[in-house]
Amino acid sequence: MEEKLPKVNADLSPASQITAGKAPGHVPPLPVEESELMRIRSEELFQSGSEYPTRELAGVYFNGIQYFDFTHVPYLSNSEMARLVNLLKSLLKKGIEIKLVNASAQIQQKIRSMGLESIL
Amino acid sequence: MEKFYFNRFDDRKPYHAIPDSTFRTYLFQFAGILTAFAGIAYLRWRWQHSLNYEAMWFSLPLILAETLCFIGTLLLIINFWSFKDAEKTPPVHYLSEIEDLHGRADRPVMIDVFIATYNEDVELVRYSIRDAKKMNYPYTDVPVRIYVLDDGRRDGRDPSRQNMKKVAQEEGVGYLIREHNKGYKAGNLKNALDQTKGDLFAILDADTRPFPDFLVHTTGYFRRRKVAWVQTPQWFYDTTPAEPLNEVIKSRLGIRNRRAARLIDLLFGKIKINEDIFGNDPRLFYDVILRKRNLYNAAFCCGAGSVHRREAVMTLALKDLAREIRRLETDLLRKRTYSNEIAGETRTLLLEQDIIPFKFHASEDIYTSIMLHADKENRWESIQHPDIECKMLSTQDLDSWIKQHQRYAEGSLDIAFKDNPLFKKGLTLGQRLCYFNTIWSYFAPLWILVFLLSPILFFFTLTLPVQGYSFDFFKYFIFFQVLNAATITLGAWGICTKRGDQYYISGFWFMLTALVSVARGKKVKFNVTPKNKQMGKHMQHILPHLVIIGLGLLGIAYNIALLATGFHPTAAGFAANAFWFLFNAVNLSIMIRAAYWKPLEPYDEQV
Repeated sequence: MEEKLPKVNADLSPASQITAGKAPGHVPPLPVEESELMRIRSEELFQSGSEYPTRELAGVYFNGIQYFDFTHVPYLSNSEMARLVNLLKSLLKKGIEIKLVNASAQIQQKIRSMGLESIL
Repeated sequence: MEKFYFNRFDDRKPYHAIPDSTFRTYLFQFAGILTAFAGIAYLRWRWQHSLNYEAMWFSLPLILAETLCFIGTLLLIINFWSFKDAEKTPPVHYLSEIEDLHGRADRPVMIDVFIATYNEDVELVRYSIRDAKKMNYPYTDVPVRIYVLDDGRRDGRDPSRQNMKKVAQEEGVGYLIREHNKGYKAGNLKNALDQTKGDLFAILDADTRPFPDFLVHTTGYFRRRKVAWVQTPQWFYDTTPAEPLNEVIKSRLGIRNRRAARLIDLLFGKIKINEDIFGNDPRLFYDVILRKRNLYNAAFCCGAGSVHRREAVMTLALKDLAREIRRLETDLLRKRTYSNEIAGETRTLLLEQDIIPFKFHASEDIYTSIMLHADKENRWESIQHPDIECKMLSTQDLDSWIKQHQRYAEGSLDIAFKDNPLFKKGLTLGQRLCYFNTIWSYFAPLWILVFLLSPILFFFTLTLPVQGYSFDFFKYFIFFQVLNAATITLGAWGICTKRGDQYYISGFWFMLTALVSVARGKKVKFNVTPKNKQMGKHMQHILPHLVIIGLGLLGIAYNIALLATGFHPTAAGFAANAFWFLFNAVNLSIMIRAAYWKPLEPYDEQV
């Protein structure tokens, strides 16, 4: 079955792309309901932050990878980053990797300063 | 609501915090400096001129004990140096008041209230929930969400157990549960933080009943962007009341005769005893020791009755996680593993690691405090709030009291052996000394034991640990002791330290047990403090006290016999040691009295 590339992928550039962990080995991705991912996006990831990310954070699931578009996310607090790591863990357990795209230089720097660049 | 023994104390009002006084502070500092010099002079004289070289087996341990004890005195003077209360400000409304937005939209701050429970009576927890629900907050758009964190899995799955979930639902508060007890209370809090979203969160224990303005009086401090937590004093409102001695005598002896009763009333009617028989009142600790650590930014969190900034503990947790992953990567690099293997291993480790906001430790509160204070990048601040904002229950029997304090001791000593704050990078000198003061106090049984045994050794060996009880000895000793007492009185002005002093000495045995246990590397257990009265488990705790008192009395009898027959070598030595023993015996007896204490009017309600 032919899959279409997600629209967000067109905006990916190496500079703005932070690749989250791939599942160890080559575990095929488990089927994940889109509704489940929507729930994660809208309720779990940024529930500790302000209201805007739940409205504006875009994301698609494609070919075993969950993409999150950080275009409209100006900043990640450590509480939000902890939530992101927990989300990464829960998806890794299901064999899904995460890619954060269009993350601002500030967010990238924050991730590096926390020493989390190897996992986020 | 179900009635409990503590309902009879509901009308008790909390104490007011000690008012700061510049004059008293200067007086204390002057006395403190004099005490330090007097102590040094005394010990110098002791080491140089008073050692009994013919009995070094006795003389040396005693002088070492005195020297170690004096280190504690110096640490206490540093700790007590001055008040530095933080400025009180109105409660916060918007997120922008407590942290920089960095381009994010502003919104009202969110507050969570966690009530941690494990096996406490659910109806007791209901009191705490109801008081939490009565808490005020001046801004209606600030959500204050209350959650019961049940680590006992009392969600109705086991019909033979009480149903905590049902109580939470009846009260309309959140209910959070997990399927294991990993990390004990710290793990319970982690589970709650994973599922909630408050920017600030308050920690209450199952028996912590907040006053209506608990949040109003504490959240304002978080305007200071580096304040990680605010601790409020823990006030035990159910400490045992003073009992008239005449009534105690009549009750214990079962006196019915009117004339005898009148005589007892006449003789003892005005004397009261047994007030706070278990030494539970922590006022000295919260109102003086911890509060004065504000000066050094070294007040540590004590769990219940505290409010925290989520961002602070999450920063700590993420740093720990990153450090752990870096450690693994370094190990792998040493093994010359290929980079793609390292990446795979890193993810495996990530799956195994948890983000842990509060350290998984028997003393999770003090350990997390040390780690936050040591964070050089953020320089987190702590605040000991002076006023009482909640009330709690104290232990009502000796066994529970000892279990609780043994956990404190073992937890603190475990930190001392594994991650000693004295050598912890990132802490300031003041913080190091204050944390060290806490830890040092748990080494006290080493010198207390020497002080307790010394007069007994004298009684049976007739050997003096000093060259003689000369004028020089008393000149140095009494001057130092009087100054020391005056300094402590000034430092803890307005607080009676009698009960604390008694338990400091009589607690030597459980502290010694804790010290030996931790030194042997035994794993520290997280004993949950029982909230009900434990009966008949006291003898093991007071047997050493009885042995010491018994031996002392026997020794006194023996020495009196020697004196009477003219065979005693030093009457002055006997007098000094007899006085010393009586002082010890009075202090030791508090624990024996506590072990067998029963209220004059038995609690007929559920305990």
